[in-house]
Amino acid sequence: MSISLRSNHATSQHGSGMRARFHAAQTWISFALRLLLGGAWIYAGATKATHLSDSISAVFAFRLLPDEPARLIGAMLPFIEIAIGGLLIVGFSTRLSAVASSVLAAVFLIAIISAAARGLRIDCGCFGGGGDLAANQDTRYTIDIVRDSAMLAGSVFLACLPASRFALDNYDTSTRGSEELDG
Amino acid sequence: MAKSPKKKPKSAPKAEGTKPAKSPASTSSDVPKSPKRRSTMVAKEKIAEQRAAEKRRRLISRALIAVAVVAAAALVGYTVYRVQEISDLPNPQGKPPKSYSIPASSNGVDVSRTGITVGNQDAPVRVDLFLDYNCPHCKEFEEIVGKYLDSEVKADHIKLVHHPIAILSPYSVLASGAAGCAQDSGKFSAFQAELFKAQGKEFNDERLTKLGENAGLSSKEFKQCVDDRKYVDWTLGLNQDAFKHEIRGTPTIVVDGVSVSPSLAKVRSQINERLEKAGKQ
Repeated sequence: MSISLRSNHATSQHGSGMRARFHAAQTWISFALRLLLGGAWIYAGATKATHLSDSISAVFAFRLLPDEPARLIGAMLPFIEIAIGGLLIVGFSTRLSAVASSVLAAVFLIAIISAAARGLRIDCGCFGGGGDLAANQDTRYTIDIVRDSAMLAGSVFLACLPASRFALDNYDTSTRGSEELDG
Repeated sequence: MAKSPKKKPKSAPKAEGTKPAKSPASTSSDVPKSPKRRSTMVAKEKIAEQRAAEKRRRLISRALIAVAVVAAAALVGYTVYRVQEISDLPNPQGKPPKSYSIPASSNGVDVSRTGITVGNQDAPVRVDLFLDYNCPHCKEFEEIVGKYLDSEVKADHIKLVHHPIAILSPYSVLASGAAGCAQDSGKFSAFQAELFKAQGKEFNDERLTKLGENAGLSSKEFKQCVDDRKYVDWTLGLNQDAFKHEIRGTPTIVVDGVSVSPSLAKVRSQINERLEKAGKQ
């Protein structure tokens, strides 16, 4: 690896320098994204896992699923969020975890947009709470949609460029960490 | 890395790097001269191939572990779901069956598919209350306006129609159904007061039974009624009826068909206005 890098450097010094710099910056960005996304999922999952009835209530409120699957998803989703968040934070199988994170964020985004489009007055239950709103409460669809879009964008970035600093993916038995950063 | 063996020498200088670059002019004489070098190149390629394969294997095994972690988490959720009471939580948005039982009318309280009516049936003004037992503002409303409404009922000024709808939580459904059970024993109002007092924690069957005891409902019938969730379908019916009348949230207060904001001043002035009109007629 290091050998080929050096020879490239000799032929096109400028370009590879830029590339190296971008690569270095990107690994830090991906690292930051891992922490942010992972933290958000763990926080979201933990607040719901401790109030599973609220989580189920939130899934009911979207009126997208029959009762039984809605209950099941309401019960399992918080734990799945925590698991994906954990994988992202430690940087284990980052690309796959980021893909899962993207799928989850996309599903939430679709659910919220559909709720807004149908004129439902609900709390998305994204970070605990959830269910229909009382008469004097306002929906917060805009902020929910912006936040979910940001999470989706971050997850897609990470899925495309999963190489990052301080990731378990960088370590294995046969080679040393930094060499595997190109993931 | 799956290149054909014929192409290997061509791409080798670029891919392998420094060694061929040392003797760039010796292309023709290079091949017969150095069988050793060729074998080292082949060996290097083999190592690179092995490494790539290893890397692939590692990626796949890690992906499998990651999938297993997520699956294990889902299993935890499923286990909690099976163990806890949440597996049979009612859906507030659920539809009631065509026929279902409704609480008994008693103690001068009339129960229908759409609500529980307290007070003189011939009272001049009708007040409809749409409350959810889990709604904090409904509790506030009850504390501030409830006493006034009770006194108006006693004075035969109004008849009060309670619609204990359940839109905020599955536990609202259970609480409302239990209020129906309380009505069977003629203790709707006392039980409702207990519900608002205890608001905050989840109204599961066990807790509802206990709140019933506080309201003087220690009979077996009440406990059985709560455990059977006898009037949950009636509650879902109340929800549907409220939705049909475009009640979009709680608390909603309707005085003779006009929605009024839930403050003591507004409710009082609207009721007085209606009473005046009724008096003039």
